[in-house]
Amino acid sequence: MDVNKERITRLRNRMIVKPSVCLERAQYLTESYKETEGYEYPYRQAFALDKILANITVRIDSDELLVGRITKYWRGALLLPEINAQWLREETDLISTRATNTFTPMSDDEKGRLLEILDYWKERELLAMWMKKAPAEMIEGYMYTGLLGGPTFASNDHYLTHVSAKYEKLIKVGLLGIREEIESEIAGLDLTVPEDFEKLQYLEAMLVSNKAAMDFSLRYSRLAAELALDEKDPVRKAELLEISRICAKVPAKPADTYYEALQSIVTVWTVINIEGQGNGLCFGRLDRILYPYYKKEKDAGTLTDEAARMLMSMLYIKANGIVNVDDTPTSQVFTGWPQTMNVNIGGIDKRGRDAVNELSHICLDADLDVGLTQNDLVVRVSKKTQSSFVIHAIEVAKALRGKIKFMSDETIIQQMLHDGYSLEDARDYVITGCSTVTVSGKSVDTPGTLINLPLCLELALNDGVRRMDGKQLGPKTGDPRSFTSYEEVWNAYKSQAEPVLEAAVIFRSSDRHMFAQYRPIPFHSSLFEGPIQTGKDMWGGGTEYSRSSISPSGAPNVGDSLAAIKKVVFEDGALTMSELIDALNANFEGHEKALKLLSDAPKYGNDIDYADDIVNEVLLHTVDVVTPLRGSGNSLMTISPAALTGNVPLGSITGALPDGRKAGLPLSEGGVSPYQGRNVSGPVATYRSVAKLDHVRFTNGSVFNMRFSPNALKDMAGIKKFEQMLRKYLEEGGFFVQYNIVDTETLRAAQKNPEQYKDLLVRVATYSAYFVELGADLQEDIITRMTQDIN
Amino acid sequence: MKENDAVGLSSLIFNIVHGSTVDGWGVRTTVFLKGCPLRCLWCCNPEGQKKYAELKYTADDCNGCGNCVPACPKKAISMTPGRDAKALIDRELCDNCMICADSCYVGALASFSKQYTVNELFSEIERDQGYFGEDGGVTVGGGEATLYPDFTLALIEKCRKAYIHTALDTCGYVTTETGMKCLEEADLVLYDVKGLDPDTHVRGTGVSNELILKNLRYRDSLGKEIIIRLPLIPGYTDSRENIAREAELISGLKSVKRVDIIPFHKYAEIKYRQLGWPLPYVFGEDFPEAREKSVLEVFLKAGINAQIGG
Repeated sequence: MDVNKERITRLRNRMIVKPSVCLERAQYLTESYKETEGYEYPYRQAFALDKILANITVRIDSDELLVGRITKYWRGALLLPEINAQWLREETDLISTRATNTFTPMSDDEKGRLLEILDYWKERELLAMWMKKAPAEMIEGYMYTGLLGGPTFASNDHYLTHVSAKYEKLIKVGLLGIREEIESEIAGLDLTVPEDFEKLQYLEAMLVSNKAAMDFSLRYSRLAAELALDEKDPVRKAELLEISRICAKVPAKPADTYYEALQSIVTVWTVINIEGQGNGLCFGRLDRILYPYYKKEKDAGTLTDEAARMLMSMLYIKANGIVNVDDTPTSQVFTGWPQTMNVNIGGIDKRGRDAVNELSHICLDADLDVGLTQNDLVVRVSKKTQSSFVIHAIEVAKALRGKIKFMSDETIIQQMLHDGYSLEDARDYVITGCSTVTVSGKSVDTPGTLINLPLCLELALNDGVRRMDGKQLGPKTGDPRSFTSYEEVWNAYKSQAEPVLEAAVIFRSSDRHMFAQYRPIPFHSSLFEGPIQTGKDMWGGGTEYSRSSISPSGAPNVGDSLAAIKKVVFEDGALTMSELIDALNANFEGHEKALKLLSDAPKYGNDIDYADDIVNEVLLHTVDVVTPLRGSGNSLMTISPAALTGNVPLGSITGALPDGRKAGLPLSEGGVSPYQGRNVSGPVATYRSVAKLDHVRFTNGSVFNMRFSPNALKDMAGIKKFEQMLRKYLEEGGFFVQYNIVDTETLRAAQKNPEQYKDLLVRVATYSAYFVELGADLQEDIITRMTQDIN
Repeated sequence: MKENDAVGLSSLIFNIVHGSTVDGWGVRTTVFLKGCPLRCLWCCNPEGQKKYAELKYTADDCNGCGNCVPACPKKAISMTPGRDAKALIDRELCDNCMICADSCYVGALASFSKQYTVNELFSEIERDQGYFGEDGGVTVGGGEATLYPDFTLALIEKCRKAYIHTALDTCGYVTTETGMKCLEEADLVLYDVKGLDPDTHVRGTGVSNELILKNLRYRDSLGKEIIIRLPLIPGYTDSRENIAREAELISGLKSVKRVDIIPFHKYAEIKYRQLGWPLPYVFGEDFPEAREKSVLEVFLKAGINAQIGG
């Protein structure tokens, strides 16, 4: 094997390309579905997978050592017409001309084939089936009103995901081992028992897809052998022969080497994507599950750290090969394709010991050579984690301008215990997607729609009517001008938010049910504990643990707004409710005094209990509404405060808010991040505000983004202080933090939108000032210096 | 000072940074007290010089609404003519009463500072304790904290009782007994040295360095930690001779743990404009990076632990 960094550079550079939509999967799927009319859905899905895997393009490119393609393109999107793709009729050209998430244009031939595919699925796709089933008033009341956004069913163009298969077991027993398990389960069935007879159907479908995956790998084995025949370069020839050997062996059989284990994971991950693609198909705790293979070879002298790192880089690059093709409104919630194909490292193991090993460090270094956007690194930090590892992770985060997600073992394990996970499973958690907590191969935890909480507050302050268009979206909760106490405002808000939260739960549960029923994924399910034993799909109650969640967005805006009302109107008496409503109606124009009073009220993110506690209450209210409900597939219902990039579109249809945010501006980003630019009291105050929230009850995770100047990390002394603050935040109740290490681009954005960047602090010894206040010349000076610091 | 007395003491604070990494050891909460006996030409926190509240006017933020004109009891505000009218403040007439700030709804007019009692300030500091780690704590600076000797001493004692490491960031021009007590009591002192030539010192800072150097030797004699801060100001403190003498002086001190070399920077320009002050002429020049390094070399060669920046 030729170990060198240039080949990684070549491979990763090939990923920096506009992706293309690949029709192959959709075409073979459609052909298969036409042939399987009348079969039950597990069969239809399995036969379709078999047909797709047997026919799609297989390709091995120069420099590749880990092989397997999801689409025929180096970086592509799959079309999933069986879920929801009819929007493409309108957007065939738009997807290649729109400003973000842009694809290469389709040829006329492709457009023709696309139409044929769409015609077949028009009434058969899952969304169309769901629309016939869902009450009209529910669709009308919530789907297009801006109260809910992002991945509701309407815009859910892909399968349910945010899970992590049991790759540890896969590399240990191979797909043949799993096959044996399925077969022995079948052998034990008593077909006179009706449940067993039903179970048989699902298990047979598992066998079909299991075989299909192994055959797919053999296609790669044959292709590599053929390429080896013509290869002139003896080094590459040997590599191709090795690829051929490995693909004939894994994923069917147990892996014996580090390389084989990685290829086994990549092949199965590829098949999982083809079967049911979506965001957040997590690789799990690779440092832990690959360690025995790495260690064995290291001790035997057959593997170097450089080779281990290079192969890991190749897995990261592979994770960038797939993007979602979403309709334009949805793409605005997923700007930049955050596919979040996570690798989790660090933390403690099932026995409570520090799990960091040499491979954890290699996983970090491997991303230095890649640094692309779709593979994410999740660094678990526990009290037992050594500084050497956390500091290494900070250095990598600095080099990659942020990127790494830092997670609190202490908080997350408490969350898991709170939701009834065993201690061992809690300690073995992984993070999928943005911030979803799950357990590889044991738990399915899918996030749901975004809930526009600030719009709920707007309705409470306008008798259920949306300001921007005068539509009655919510119940009549009374004329806000007549409210005489803070409690009345709070109760009106709760009355507006509750039906929306419940609608979000109904959306989540009803679509999840349909996935389990009509789009089961027997291959992926066979890689979880439970579905083989129960004969149920992983989304249909087949696993031991199961959760569904919905995502309250903009809680910091609601909290800041309520705090402002409480203080300015009801405590200081500086503004009447009528004056407040007039100001909101006018988007503060001509009401500058009201704006000033409201803006000066305490704001979340500055360690002021007054505001922080209200944000917490807003979130706990969503917990109180949602968690007593039961989700589909016998899942727990939970919340995950997050907004993705949906804070921009949701904000665009939300009017002026009492926190001083003007109409149409973005809402708070992340989910629990202080509103952009309002945390102006230094990093410790920001950390403390966020850690103050009751994260133990936000059990599906939350998102907190924080800006940091690279200057703070310029030397080891700075990095150690950074580590100290990060760890204290994670230990005192924080859940997650991801940094935006400020770059010149951020500073340019701050010059354009100073309001949103008021928190950027410039510190030089005793001096302190805010970047946005400096004036153009000095800002230029700082930007110039920063460019020098980084390069 | 008795515990209860501290409640009544208050001081003007012009900034608090929760989580500073540049004001002494570790992660710190830095408080800036308003008022300073020195008038350094290169002052980077000019809003910290005067002991009273001062009006901060950010012309870029002014929307030209004119509300402040009738609000001002001293008739110190007028509007510039033309379409892009801006408030114009006659600082001769302005007595910093801040009434105009209440009438400014865009935040262009504001006070540079806020009044805090010792207890209020302490509670802001105490909540950060978990983030201080082994070596962090509070840094009391300014301005010049010892200009409020009772307040500063009470704060230091209160922090000490709560096991919070205390640092005093001082110019060394301490004239009162209680001020000297602050200098004694602080666990760490960040001590500014602004040149050794007496005449140049007077020209640059407005005061003689005699007392400053005497106090430095006194603090040093206590054997308690000192970090020396050396601003490098073109024409004032950056001569080869001065640097060599400073290195010699510091070599002779026993409690200096580190020397922070702070090259002149222009980031304070905006604050001068917000105060309505003319820019000191030193603001025209940039400090060359190569010179920073050669100055650092002098200290390192003398066996002194030194670095550029705080």
